[in-house]
Amino acid sequence: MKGWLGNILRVNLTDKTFRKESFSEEFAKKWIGGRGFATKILYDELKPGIDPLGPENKFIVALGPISGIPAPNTGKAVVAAKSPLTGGYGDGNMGTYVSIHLRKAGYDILIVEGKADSPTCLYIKDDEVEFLPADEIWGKGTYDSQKWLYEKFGKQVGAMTIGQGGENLVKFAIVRSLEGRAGGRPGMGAVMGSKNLKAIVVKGTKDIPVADPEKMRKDGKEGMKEAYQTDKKIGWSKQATNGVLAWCNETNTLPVRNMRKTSHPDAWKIDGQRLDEARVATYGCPNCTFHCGITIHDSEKRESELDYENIGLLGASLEIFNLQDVGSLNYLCDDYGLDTISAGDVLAFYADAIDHGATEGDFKFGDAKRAIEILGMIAKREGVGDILADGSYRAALKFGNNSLDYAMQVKGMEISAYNCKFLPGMALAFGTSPIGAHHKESWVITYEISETPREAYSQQKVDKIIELQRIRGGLFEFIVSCRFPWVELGMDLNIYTKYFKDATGIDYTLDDFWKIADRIYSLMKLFWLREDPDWDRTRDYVPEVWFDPANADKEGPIAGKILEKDKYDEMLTLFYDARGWDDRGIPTMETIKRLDLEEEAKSLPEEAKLK
Amino acid sequence: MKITVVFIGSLINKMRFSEKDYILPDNSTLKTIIEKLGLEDYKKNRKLILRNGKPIKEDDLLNDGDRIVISHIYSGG
Repeated sequence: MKGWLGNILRVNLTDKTFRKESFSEEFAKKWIGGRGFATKILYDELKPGIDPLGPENKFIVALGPISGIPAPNTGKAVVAAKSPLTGGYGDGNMGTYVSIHLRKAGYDILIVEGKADSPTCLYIKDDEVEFLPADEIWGKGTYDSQKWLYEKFGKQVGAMTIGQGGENLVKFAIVRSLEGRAGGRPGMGAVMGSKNLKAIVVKGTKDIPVADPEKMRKDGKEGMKEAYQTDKKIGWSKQATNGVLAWCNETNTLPVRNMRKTSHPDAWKIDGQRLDEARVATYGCPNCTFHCGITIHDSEKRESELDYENIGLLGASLEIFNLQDVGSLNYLCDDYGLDTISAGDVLAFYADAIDHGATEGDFKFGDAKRAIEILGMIAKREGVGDILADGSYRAALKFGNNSLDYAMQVKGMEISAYNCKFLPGMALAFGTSPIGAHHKESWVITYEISETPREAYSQQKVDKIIELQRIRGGLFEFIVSCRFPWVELGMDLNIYTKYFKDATGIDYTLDDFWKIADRIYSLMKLFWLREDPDWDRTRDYVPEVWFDPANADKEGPIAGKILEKDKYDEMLTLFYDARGWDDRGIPTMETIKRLDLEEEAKSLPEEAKLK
Repeated sequence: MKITVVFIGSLINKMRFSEKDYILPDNSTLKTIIEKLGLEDYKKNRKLILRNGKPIKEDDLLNDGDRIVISHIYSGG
């Protein structure tokens, strides 16, 4: 087998053992890597109903056949587990040198099982594994933890760590790596914390065998050069992801005031131009030639690396229009190891719930000082922070008073920074995102606004959502590479079939990749169904407030416009039909057969039988 | 008629302004303003133009008060 190492490192923290296992070429060709490997392994190895924060859950780092190989933006890793935030399959991808070092150590997959009896740092050096005490950094933030790791192991390693959020089992705690990299929105940091796993450090020194080394080197080098030159020409990284903030404000898609409003006159104060002007440094992921990590000094003069999602939710949605204050909230999320998207949505929900009398409290929109305090309470699970640490869905169930209607989440996971109260297609993209609302799966707003009638609930939009799910949530998540060369620079998708062939020798077409993407999406749905045999289509609905005419904009270009639930539901049916799923949103038997998932379907309980 | 042109993203650095009003003769189209700004290659350079938040074609007539937003083609990061 070329491209893949063909090896899994399975570590048990309970009894401090490890073993090297191999996987077959058939497994590799069927699931490719990253999300594909993780979904299949978690589906096969986890018993339904297990506690995501118990020792039975497994934490996975999964790589792909081009991970770590010099080619555009391949320094990514997928982290995955059963999600404590949603109860379903959860994952995230992140830029990290673990990607390169784990492959150079000889592994495509790391599976961490059990629970250590004390804070532990897992150190993998080629074929050796050590379980080192991490008491010195337990209780510390990710910046101090990372510094400690670098002092102990040097900087020529791959390292992942969690902050106090993960230690205290905040359900939207993430895993951190490098200066500003984070991944695992559905609580992957909490899963590490539940295992007393403070950090993973990897040092690999071997070669990664590929089918055609010379061609891989040449194609990879050309791709990295093309990415660099294209970015220089079009200037994307000048404002990077936050360029979109001003555009969202213009198109009434910005999340303002817990997504009750779609634009704000002060939005310019936190837009891409202001971010670029405040820039003090720029960081990026391994093997990237157009770094997007624009870093500023926050209100305490600390370096804070910002992107649109952070600024949209910790800024606009909280009506905090001071970039340094947003920088401070972002810095603290990074240090505590909290997902900035969920943190912003949760804080906005809390302010909204107080505003609407659903609960009592002293937090108001625009209050950066109190937002900073509450973030700390969430990370340490103190006071109301203990409730908010469980995410907006569970907090809404506690607060009651119809507050669930405006908890901005789907399947328990908070919605990324796009206000879809009048964007039927993007709303459906969030609704059908298989891990809870996430922009990484499909993003159709430009298409929806510029190439279709915005108000349409159409097959055309459904087809675009699925096309992008196959690319973004499929290809880039299983081949494990950053989507930005394609999504932001417009590079040809066929470079990935080329790299795949260079690495593995296998001649897959994009259509082959789409089938694999569909297989993974369908297996994620089976994972949900096995957890909840009563699963129904309402789990793919977006929050009620987006259907509420009283929540329509009062003025501006989309005044009076709001999503219509019956039409959303009709479009959901179109989506299910196109995917070959039944009216619950579950793959039909015919689809199971077409996607070669018959073996997996056998483990479904009788009451959840397929149609 | 008066129209407002807004740039979003790196074009601000190239054009050296982010928002400017233009007085144009009647019957001006989007093409008129594209040529005036020297942005004939906007599609090739992955730029998108919207009028009042909605799509506009090059031959469409402009109206007094229009807000023309020229940005990168954003794709959701």
